[in-house]
Amino acid sequence: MNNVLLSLENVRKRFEANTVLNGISLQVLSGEIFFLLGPSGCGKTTLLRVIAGFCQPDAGRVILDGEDITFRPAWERHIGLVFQNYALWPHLTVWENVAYGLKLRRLPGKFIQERVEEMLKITKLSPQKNLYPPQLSGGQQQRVALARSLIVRPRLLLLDEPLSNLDAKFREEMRQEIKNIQKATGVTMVYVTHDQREALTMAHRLAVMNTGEISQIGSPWHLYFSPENRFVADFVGVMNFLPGRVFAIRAGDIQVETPEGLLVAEVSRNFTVAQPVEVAFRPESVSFRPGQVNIFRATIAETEMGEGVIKVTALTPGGHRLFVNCSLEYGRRLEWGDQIVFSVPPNRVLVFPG
Amino acid sequence: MKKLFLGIALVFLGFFLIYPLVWLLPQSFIANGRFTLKVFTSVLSSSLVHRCLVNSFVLAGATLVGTSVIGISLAIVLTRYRLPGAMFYRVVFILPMIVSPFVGAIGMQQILARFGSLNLLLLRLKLISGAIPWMGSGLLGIAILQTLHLYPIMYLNISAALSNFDRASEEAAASLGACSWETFWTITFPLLRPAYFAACAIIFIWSLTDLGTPLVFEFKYLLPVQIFNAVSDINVNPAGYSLVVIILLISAILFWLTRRMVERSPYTTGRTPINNQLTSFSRKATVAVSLGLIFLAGVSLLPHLSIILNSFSERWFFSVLPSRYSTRFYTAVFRHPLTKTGLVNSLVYSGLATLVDISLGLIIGYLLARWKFRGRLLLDTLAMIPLAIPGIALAFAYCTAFSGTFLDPRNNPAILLVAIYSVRRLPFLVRTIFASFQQLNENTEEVSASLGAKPATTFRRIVLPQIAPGVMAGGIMVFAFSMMGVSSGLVLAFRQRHFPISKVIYTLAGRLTDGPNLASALAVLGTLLLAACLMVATRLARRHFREFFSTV
Repeated sequence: MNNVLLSLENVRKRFEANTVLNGISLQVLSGEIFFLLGPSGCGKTTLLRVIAGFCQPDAGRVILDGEDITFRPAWERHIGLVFQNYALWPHLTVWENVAYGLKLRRLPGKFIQERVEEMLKITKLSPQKNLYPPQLSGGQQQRVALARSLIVRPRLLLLDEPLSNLDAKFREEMRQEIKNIQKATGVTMVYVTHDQREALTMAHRLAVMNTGEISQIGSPWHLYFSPENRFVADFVGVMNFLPGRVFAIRAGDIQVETPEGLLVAEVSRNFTVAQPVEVAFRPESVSFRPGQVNIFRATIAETEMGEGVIKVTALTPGGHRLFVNCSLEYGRRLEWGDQIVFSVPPNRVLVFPG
Repeated sequence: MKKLFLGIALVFLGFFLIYPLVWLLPQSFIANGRFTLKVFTSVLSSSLVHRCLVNSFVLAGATLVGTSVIGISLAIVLTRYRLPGAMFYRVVFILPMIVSPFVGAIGMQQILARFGSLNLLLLRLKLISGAIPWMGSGLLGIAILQTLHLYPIMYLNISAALSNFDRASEEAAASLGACSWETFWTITFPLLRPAYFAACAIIFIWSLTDLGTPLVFEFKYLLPVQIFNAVSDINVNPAGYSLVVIILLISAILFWLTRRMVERSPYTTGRTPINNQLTSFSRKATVAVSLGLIFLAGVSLLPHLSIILNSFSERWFFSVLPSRYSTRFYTAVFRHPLTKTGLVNSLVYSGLATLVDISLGLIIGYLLARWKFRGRLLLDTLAMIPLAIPGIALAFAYCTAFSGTFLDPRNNPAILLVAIYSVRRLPFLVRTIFASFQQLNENTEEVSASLGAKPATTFRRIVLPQIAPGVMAGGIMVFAFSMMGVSSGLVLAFRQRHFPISKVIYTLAGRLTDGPNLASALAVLGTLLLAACLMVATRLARRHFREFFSTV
């Protein structure tokens, strides 16, 4: 899992005046599920198409397994591809769709038969093997698309928002399904999505993209709790932001003056006194036990049942709307208009240049 | 590869479309090496040309009025009202389109002639005392035949527009106090205008440039006939060039106007009708309308019936119906040297034209759908230009532009006939294939490439199977319409051994004895082939969409 399988070096792409990829560099390790996460139009699908060979970069290199494949045609790259709309061939049965890649390689019939049956078994499609794509459900079509790409044992599998056409419940199941298939086959995956939940639950590592650039690369945990910039902090998960100004810099932490009072944050970044900043913290970073610093008093404006938590929207005396999570046990007693007091540990407070 | 394809398409269109048309211009506007309007004005000032121009416009105008009245009325009755046998009428009123009026004219002469079936019947019934010249100078007969052939275009266009039309807009007008007539003129018609003008342009140009029907009626004073006659003396008389330029100008202006009309229209087709329930006639009105429709259907199918009767008639002289019947003309079609030659030639020309069109259609359709390149609009426009070029104009241009070259139609018109059939039907195939490519998810091709398939393999195994029904349907249509193409064959084929079916029919129709019967039998067979092709093509296209694109 430590070998670099795919390496992108300073990849650039423009469509007329529009710069879609602005010097992208990243590495994907062998055997990992690597996510490209970003809002619509950030260039993630273009990047995927550059990797697949359907789009030529204006500059930069694509290196797969140590080999420069930048200008190699798609059909010689041995990179699998699963599309958002599955792109199944409607004139071929499930079996024929899956067997297509093996037939192209002119492998012996018996071998093809065995491999297809095995792949259909892994993807739980054996009963549907003689059906045509239009006769399948969305999830089944999705699995055919996966099976079709995986059967040729690609060096890399690219997935372009493969779950976005499924309903919410089925999406959950398919996430697990894809993870299981990845585990069973060991294939390296590059997965494009704008759904941060999908990325956070499935990725080994992910890259957050914004306007054609990589904002940050790291593990889901790292990106969630240690975002390097405001965009990542805002795009990945829910984040509370408060404007402020650096009041004092001490060894290991800084004090920031905000409309809600003086807040303390443990930061490694360099700031200067009086620098305008934004202070941020996650809803789940708050504590309802008495704290020493970073204490907030707020009035409950709204409560909402989440998965295992109560999501509270609270209004501070300074007029800021803050999102905090509390346990079900604690949250069920809260009502609109109640006063709550909570604190945020300094090591969970982030500070970004304002 | 894409550049090679583009090159092939441009060379073909350049050589067989642009070059001959551009070649015409200097002949009309350049004399002694200088631009001049003298040739043009002297041609226009000729009394013969003047008479032809007036006649042609009168004919086209009359046909337009006739088709408008019949087509719009039919469309309203059949899309808005509940009628017993509506499905039957919908099929029957499309049938007249299948038989060219040129073919129908042969049969109609037997019925409408001075001592034809109609006059004889009326005389026998003592409803008239002397024969009525139904065809008048010939112009009226031509107008009637063209109207009966072309009203389905108007009917189909208006029906399509009406079925996408939300009747709530009419009901809103009615609620504000507009009576039916006011609602029609202030709401319905303005919204139907793009569809109406599109049909008008097609009908007007078709009528203006129809060569076959006036030739059968032996009516000389029309533009297409003059152009046809000018082919034989193009080296001494420049009138033909100017007349073709006039026709091209009229076509271009009409198509441009129609396009502008459609583009500027706020009305978009495909709007979901939310209130299109059928209205019922009263019982009396139902009977009256049904009788009217049956009468119209009878009159519309009269040319077809007369041609069928003619093909079976051993003796039809001074009698309402044939006095003796025979099937011998059908067997003779396959034995007579002229009909045999015509059949074989047309099969070869049309078959080759179909292959050329399928190849070019695939190339151009693919390039337009899958490649963004500079000049894409130019290629698209070039491929669509033949829609606005009347067959007779292009045939004349071929005759003159390739005269004296190895392609000279006087020596052998085969290549030019294949080319003209291909060029004229190319827009239909390009549009069909382009639509097929657009409906085909491009990702399906990319997945194939990602699995290691080269472009040719992807095309053969993934693309072609999915677009094949559409391509075949288009191909069959090209074949069928080329088989029954009229003006190109009449103008370009000079020697009997090169005649296509249309020219054989025309030649036979003019012969005494059994010529018209043989021509009728050949026409019936040709029409049956055309109808069969249309049915297969429609079936293929329908299956194509239902099977492949309904759910994926």
